Amino acid sequence: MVSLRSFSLKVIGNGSGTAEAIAGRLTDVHGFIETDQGPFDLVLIDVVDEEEDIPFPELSDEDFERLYLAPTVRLENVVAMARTLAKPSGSLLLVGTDAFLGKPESAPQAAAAGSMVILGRSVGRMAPPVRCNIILFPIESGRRSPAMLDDSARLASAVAGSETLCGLRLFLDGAAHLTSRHVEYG
Amino acid sequence: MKTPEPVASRAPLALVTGAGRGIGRAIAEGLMEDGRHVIATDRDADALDDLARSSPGSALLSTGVLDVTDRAAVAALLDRYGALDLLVNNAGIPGRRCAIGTISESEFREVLRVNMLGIFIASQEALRRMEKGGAIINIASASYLVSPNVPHYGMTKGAVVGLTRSMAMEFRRRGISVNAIGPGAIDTAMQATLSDEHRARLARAYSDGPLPPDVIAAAVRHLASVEGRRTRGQILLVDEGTSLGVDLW
Repeated sequence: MVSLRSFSLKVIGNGSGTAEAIAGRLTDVHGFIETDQGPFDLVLIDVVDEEEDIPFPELSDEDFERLYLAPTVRLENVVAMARTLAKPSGSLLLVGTDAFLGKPESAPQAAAAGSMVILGRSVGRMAPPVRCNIILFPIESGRRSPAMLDDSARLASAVAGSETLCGLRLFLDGAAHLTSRHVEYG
Repeated sequence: MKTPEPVASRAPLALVTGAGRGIGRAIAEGLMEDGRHVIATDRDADALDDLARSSPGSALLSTGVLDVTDRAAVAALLDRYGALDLLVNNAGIPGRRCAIGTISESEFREVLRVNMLGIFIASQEALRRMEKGGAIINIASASYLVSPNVPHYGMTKGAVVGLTRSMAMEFRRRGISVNAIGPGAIDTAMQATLSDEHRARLARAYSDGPLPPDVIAAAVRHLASVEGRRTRGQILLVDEGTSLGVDLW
């Protein structure tokens, strides 16, 4: 007889609704229990991304503050806190975007995504290590679909139950990250 | 306030930030050897004076004390010159070696401002003066790959990667190449801040200890060349292969 383990879940969202939508699927379909009582098996973090196309020459210093500096300071804060909330066997799952691959007119968001990737990869090697993975949505909201939320819940379930998955970038984009991009720009 | 006199030069102009010592100084000297007029900037006036005194190609050298996060100062400096051909964003600080969650917001912001806002400002001001094309080279670090010991520094270098790729895409059709270089351990003053154990580990990892700054200058000179400018949006790791085995991204 197989007994299904139930995972505790903590969600730290940014109000965009993405983390909450994934959490809803985790509790409804995958047997997770969302709670405020730690430590947690999985801490789901979505604090950074904001789609807004601004050509690089037109970006103001205030734009750079709003789209890169402030979110990155917030990310560091939240991930540091989340490490203390996770069980020793627990996982962090960062919700990010594929913007680190580069996107014209989205330089600050690409920078923010780059900071998230290096932080996510580094957490697993910090002392004490906590497993950390990153799921990546398309930065363009028009390319996002409910199926991606379903898949992200499946991935979240997989990483929460794993002892070995760590430092992964998991693209939810139908292999778009394997195609040449934005070559027609300009 | 008196407006500084404009500087006329027939040589292609290159701005190198953080050029007072170490990697930046080697880059400035290398670019002068290639016949470029180098505007070498740094926050440290003494270091710039030393560069000026020792430079054999001083006719091709201008220096300026500059805080790259001060947009007005960057613009005022560049206004003294004509069209810019090359920008090397080298200015940066390592920040404190500490775990995440143990740095104050003001400390972290200082690292972010110098290492990222400085690149943003210098790049924007440079691009406004690259109407006939040009090249931008961002000095990142091999620690962009994974950085558990200096996570805040690493976060800024990961950001340089994303920024470089986006800028490369955006300016490809304008004849402007944007690339980054990821130095491994380089023999600079920063090495003195490392523990004995860390230095011993580096001595074992590299064939002859940390690499001389000239190897980074050589990579910059290549990416700045006509041939090198066909490379776009890449992160060139210069670390004697010590990153081999790490998942690249």
